[in-house]
Amino acid sequence: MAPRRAVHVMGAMTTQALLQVLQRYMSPITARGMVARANRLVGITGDMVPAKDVPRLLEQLAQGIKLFVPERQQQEAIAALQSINRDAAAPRAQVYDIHDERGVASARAGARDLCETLGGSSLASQKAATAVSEVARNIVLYAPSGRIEMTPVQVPRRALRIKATDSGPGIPHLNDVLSGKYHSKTGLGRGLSGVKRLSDRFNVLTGPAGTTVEFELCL
Amino acid sequence: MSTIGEERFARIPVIRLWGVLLVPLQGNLVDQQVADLVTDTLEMIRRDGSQGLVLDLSGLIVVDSHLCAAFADLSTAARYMGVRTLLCGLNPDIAMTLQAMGIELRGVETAVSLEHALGTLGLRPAKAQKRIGQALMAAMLDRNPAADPNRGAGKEDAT
Repeated sequence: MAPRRAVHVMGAMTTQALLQVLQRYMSPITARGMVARANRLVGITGDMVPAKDVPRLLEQLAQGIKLFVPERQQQEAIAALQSINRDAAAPRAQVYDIHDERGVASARAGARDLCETLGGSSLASQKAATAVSEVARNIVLYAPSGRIEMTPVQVPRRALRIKATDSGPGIPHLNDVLSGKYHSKTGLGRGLSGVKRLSDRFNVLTGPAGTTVEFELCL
Repeated sequence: MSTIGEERFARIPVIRLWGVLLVPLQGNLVDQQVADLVTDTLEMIRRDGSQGLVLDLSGLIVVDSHLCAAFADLSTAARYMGVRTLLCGLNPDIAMTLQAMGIELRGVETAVSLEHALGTLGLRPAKAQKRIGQALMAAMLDRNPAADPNRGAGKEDAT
């Protein structure tokens, strides 16, 4: 019934896990002080670091590492902290099957939640939710059904990769659609061209067997 | 009643307020709710008339091209029926996203907030009306309104 198929793990991490890693590179007292300061600056209370605060906390700790860890070990220490984040916290890809308007509504809410979990700005979350809404709606309007996958990307920079696939009849006049010349009956004809303008990488493959729209949004 | 399959969607309320129709939009809307809103609103205009229509978007989580098209269509249809429409409460993130997508809400009037939208339609709080009246009276009597201790806004300063 629910169109959401894979649920991401809330990427919380414990203060204890951070301390264990940091103590490999510095004294326990320094590690404690550094974590306490970073927690205070980010506004974390208690032993759990909520997933949405993890990126900001790691930024603070990286600054501390640059002060207290010998230069040749700094990169290693930062990578070790990030790997806690990756193992325990990295939200996994989410997949939404889109059959009807309910699917559109839950996909856009999901995109927004995922961006916030990844520590994206409110503008980035807004853009992601809007772009997902556009491609999901296209699936409902023009194809019987389809699927949207959202994958967090770390390299070369933090981004959300979104892939929308359907087995519909394909997009005729793709160039007109992308340049905004086309005006649909139901909308402003700015859906797909708008997504292209919002995204950093954008690619459409379309044919009589179906359409795949793939794009990335920086967080 | 709007349904998809077995599910029903809540109808968006249309509030009549001092001759103006006010629509507070909230959360994550489904197309069917928006389509129902358009027919509900136009029907209320036909039945009872209206001095204006205000759509408050401040509670929406996403405004995409389809929703913009629906608002533009509603605004045009209301204008054909002699009613002026104002959109208000778009937050900066939504405004920047629509701008980045190249969506132009052509022919649709906007206001920064509900208060401004109602003001544009000629509705003002009674206090403001009274103050404007007093200022006008003071000007006509050639008095300096700031020096008048009986004026509402000047009371704190006088003590």
